Amino acid sequence: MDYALNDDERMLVDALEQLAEKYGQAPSQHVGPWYDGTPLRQELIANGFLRIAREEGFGPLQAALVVDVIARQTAVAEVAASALIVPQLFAEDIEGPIALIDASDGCWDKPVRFLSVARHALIDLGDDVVLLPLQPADVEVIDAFVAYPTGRLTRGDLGGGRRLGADAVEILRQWWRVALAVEMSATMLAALDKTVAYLKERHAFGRPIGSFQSVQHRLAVCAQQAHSARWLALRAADTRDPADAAIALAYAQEAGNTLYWDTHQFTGAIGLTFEYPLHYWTLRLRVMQSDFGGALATAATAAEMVCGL
Amino acid sequence: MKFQWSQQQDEFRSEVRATIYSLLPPSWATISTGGVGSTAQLEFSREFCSRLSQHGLLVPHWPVEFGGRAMSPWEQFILAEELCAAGEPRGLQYMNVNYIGPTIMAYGTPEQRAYHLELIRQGRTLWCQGYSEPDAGSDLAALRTKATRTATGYVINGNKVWTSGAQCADYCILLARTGEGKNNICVFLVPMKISGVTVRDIDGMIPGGGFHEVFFDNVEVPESARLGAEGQAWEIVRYSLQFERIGVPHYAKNGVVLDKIVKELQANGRWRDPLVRARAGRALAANAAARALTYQVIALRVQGLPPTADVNVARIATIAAQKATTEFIGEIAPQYLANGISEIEGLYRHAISTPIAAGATEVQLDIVAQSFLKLPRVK
Repeated sequence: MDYALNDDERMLVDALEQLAEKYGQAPSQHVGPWYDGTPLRQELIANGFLRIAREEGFGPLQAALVVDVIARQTAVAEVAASALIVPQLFAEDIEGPIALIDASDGCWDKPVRFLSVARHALIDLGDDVVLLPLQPADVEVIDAFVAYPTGRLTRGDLGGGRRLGADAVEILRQWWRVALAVEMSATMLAALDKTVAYLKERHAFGRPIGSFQSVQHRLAVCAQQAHSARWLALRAADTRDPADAAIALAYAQEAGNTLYWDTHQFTGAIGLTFEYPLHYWTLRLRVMQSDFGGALATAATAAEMVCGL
Repeated sequence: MKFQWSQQQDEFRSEVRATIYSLLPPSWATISTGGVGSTAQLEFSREFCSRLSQHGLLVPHWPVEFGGRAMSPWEQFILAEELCAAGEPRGLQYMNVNYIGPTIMAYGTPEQRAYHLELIRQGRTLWCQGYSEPDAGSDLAALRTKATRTATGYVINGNKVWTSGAQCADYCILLARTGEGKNNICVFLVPMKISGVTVRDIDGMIPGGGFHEVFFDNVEVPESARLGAEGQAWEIVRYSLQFERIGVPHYAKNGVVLDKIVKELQANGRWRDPLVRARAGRALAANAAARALTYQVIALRVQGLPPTADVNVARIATIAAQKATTEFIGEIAPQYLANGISEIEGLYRHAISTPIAAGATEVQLDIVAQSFLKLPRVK
């Protein structure tokens, strides 16, 4: 048991942060719900970060650290599916960005994050998983009010897709949960940092807003929940236990609800504008908290996995 | 980073678990129904801790010079988890080994160390904590109990309240003031079975006679009963609270109780209800979070870093886990609260004190906001 980064992990995180500083920040004049992180993603690929789980001595925990750093940036890029999920399902690299589609209800024409820019879709059919190469004509771009490039699959069938078999379903779901949990916790921590910084500067009634106890207490709870979510997510990446993955996502989705409301509450009206960069993270949280049916459904799944049915 | 136990740590856990269960009598379920502060459990702890000591498992994390095995804080917590899951047969002696002993190590005189640490190490002595007063709970600086200087020591007058384990305690780690203000408070190691000390039971929400009022009427103690220097109490208390706030891994006992309830829900078919499972999942996740943050504190301790507000963050998570667990019991399995005394009812009744003990939740939140998030203090 060791919660500290080892030397290799420290080097990894330092390198990622340097890269993110150069390519991961939306310029201050940018106004919009999301900022395209394609250049950041290309740099991550060029430097081998998205296939780090395949490197000698590394694995999903280090891939989770990649997601942990990149998801805190204002630029948004598909990283989690490529870095965390693909190595668990495929021996070979799969060209990304990769969109994840839950079609276990038989419906795959729903809005999906990253689908408008994706090269492949990984589709959960409930009893099988399909890897579908995508052509531009397969996807309708959706101008959704979320902080991701979003699209909808327009194909009526999944012909040309590669079927991975029933055994792949639970593997996909486990790592999808880990990926979400890591991305959500990193997003929460970034939103919290931004909010705390604002509340130290902004005054109301003659004193910093962050000095009011009613504000402090709620932010302290947010901090506890966001940090809990991060440790649970990293733990799930390391233990490779499906139950840990479900627990981590259940916790993150529940915490995300609190943090979304409180960070916007405390940043007030400026936080509701695109002039203030809080939405880059909170609008991502809103999307991720609905995956797998949301916090309540994920909690039920977690209980099944821990205790059995 | 590594979030899994080593083989050696797994083996240590197995050894600990086997030893605990070999030392528990068939009547343990009855003895433990009142909880850690009950008379039955406290008296049992003298025998249990003595035998645990003989197995080298009472203070394995203490330095060798004080009779320990110099094991790491991880082993200390593996031990604590297993004992907590078993119903904490150490009773309140967990305080002795977690923070009263280490505080004496840090601030005691050679004589105090030699005397008290040896007694604690043997597992035969019971302590209570004389901090709270009728007008000083989380606001410890408001305490009124007085220690007046005499030619040979001090005379103590005042009263303490909500004192767990006072009915059986041999010693009290007591706060009393020698003057006005926060900087004129002293810590005393006071024998409880001496003239002028009176203990009164207070009945209430906590089972097993957990609360007491302790009166000190002209209690004479020698100067050698003072721990540290005059006016050093604040530093000593802060030191000891860092250990106390995460000292009880409640999540371990919660896990046992949740497992027991779920098994019954599975047997009677209610587990098929996804809402029931969702409530269980929330409780399980809250406990997993408490464990994760507690481990974060242990990890810092293992690195030899000084205590930080991470302790308070972990405490908030522990409180949330207690709340989630008892909400699950109360809403999904209320029958356990109406069947007479049981370990589930005991947990439920004790849990309500978690947000108050070791500094109220609001104090923890203040510390997290100001020391962890660095939000501004109000002047």
